[in-house]
Amino acid sequence: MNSLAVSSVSKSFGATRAVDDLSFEVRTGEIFAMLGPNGAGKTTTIRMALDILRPDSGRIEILGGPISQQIKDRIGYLPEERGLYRNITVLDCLAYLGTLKGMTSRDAKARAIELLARVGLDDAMNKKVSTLSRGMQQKAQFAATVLHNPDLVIIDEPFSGLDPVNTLLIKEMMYEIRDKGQTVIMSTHMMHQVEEMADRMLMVSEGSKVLYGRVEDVRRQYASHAVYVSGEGDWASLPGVERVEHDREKRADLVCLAEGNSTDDFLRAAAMHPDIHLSRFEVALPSLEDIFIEVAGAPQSNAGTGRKANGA
Amino acid sequence: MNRIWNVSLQELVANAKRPSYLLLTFGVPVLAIFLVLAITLFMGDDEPEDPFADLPDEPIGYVDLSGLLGGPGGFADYLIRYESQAAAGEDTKSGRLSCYYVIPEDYMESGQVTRVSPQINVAASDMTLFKSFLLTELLGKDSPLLLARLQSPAVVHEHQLDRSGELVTEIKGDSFANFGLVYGFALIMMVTLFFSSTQLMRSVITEKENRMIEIVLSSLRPIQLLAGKVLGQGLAGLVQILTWLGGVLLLIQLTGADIPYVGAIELPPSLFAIAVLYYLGGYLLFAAFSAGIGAISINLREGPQYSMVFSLPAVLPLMFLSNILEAPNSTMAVALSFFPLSAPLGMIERLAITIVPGWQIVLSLIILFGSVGAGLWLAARLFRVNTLLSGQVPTRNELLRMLVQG
Repeated sequence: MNSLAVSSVSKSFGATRAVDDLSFEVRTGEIFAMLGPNGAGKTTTIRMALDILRPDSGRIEILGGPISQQIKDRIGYLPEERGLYRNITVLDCLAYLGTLKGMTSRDAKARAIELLARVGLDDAMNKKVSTLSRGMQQKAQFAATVLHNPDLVIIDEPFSGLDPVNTLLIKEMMYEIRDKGQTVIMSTHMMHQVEEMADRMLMVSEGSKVLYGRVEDVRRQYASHAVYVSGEGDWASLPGVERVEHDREKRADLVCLAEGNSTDDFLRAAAMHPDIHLSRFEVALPSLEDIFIEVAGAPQSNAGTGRKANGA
Repeated sequence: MNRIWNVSLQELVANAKRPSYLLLTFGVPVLAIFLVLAITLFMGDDEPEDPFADLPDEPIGYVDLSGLLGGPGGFADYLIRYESQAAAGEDTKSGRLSCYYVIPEDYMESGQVTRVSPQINVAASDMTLFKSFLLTELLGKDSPLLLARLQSPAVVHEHQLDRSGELVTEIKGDSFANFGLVYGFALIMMVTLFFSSTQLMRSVITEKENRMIEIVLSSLRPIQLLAGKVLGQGLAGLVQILTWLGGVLLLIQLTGADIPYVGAIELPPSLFAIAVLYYLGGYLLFAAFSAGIGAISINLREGPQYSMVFSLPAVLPLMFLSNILEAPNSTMAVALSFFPLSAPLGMIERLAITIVPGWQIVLSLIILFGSVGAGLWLAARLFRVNTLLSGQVPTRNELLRMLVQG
């Protein structure tokens, strides 16, 4: 079952085409990452999904149907441009936002007290928002987003400006949401977070889909036909090896293979060679950051050539 | 509708917690009541219209050498007749009298009277008493009507020729009392209208400044947010004006008899019903402008600058109040009561002092509420996602495009 299904959606602002025939699905119970450079169309896509903007064409179904007030009440949204009402108390602010999601004021307050305690703000709930530090406000914003126990949480740059301790806390809460069978969509530039947390991902560039699928599958797809090895022996003497480079960061040698030679072939040859002793072997998968730079940094026409991941 | 109500309630509560709102809503009437009561108390009597209230406890003596006066009569509580100046002087010296008057033999010719007291007091309250006594004695017996006219020479009823030259309209009540009432009501109406609409504008801009607008718009349509804010600020304004009017009523209740001219106010109850309509129309029109300006402004500094565009025409009837009072059916007065921005004040001012033809009231209300419809329609065109989420003030061309194309 899908929490979000976007089919052939396009949106233009004047002469600028912000989203161009975009299609993807987000499955219920997963953490889904949206990646892309600035201006790629991520935020526009999210706003269309939330009915803040209307698409020019295409169809969007969210939580099983077209958006309605009832469905909006089942979604928690934390945009990149976010804040809180500065001149009221944290508790009042969260309670008000809860009522906008259909909660009664009493329920919203009770849930806010529970959540603020969970994020370590129980002492600050009766303080004015303006007196809170930036980190505290960000935790309160996250609490406001999940206050009504939404089935779908959409967060733009969830860890922006958070210190490592608070990053860990928010990460844990996002995992908890997924583990309860609810869905998280995060839009981010922090690739290592996507590698670590996301089940599936979508990368958009200039309004179009360039990468889409399971994170591991995408990385494998962009694997550079090379292996990291450690041990003793002359790797270059093995058949099918094109060149050998030392990667200081990985503390290993990167063995790039010639066309037509697989990593299995290399492993077999190394194991059978009497002068080679292998202590480490790892297929060299590119980081998402490398893929992001390769795909988003290159012109659109080259980025997708032969490598577009259109399947899920 | 629930969400609109939630937004309204939030606006109302936010206002209720704002010191400036509390001060203006409750502080001003409390201060006004306190000041009036203090002044009344300071004046030192419960019946300031009684000219003899400030008299000293000791009575006043008089010696009539002219033979024109009789006994003190109705003034016996205050006056004692003496046959000789020596006796009166003795009692004044001993403190039994506060002072005494001597009416000489040639009083009718000279008009001269001598007052003798332990200390000189040019504004002594007993002089008024004694003058009143003299008038009553000289005229009261033979010409009570003449006495009444001398004491109250003219109760003026002003009439004005209608523009047609045929219909004669009476300017109702005491014109000074009505002037005060109209001025006070216009001031209250203007202050609450401005305060409510300015708060609405601030509220919209604050959503943007606090970066809450996108979060809120993920729960509500922009039109729901607009409706909630207009309703909430309207309720806050209503609480304000009702509190003020309640304060005025309380003041009249407490001191009504003591406040000069209050008793002379003559305004028909229908005027208040019409005033409610004009207040509602005025608020909705100002709210539409304020919401539109709030939608295109990006900070609290610039919003109020644009509001001059509608606040200046709105206060024109207050600036020309004396002209309207002098000629409530002049072309200028009629124009101000038709122009939608100035109509709420302009028409109320005219209604308070003259009989306005029914068709003028109906036409003025049609123009006002027609403008409200147009204003809200334009505000809704500006109160769109793209404008609200934009971090920039639209250019004039962009603004025109938004208004024309939506």
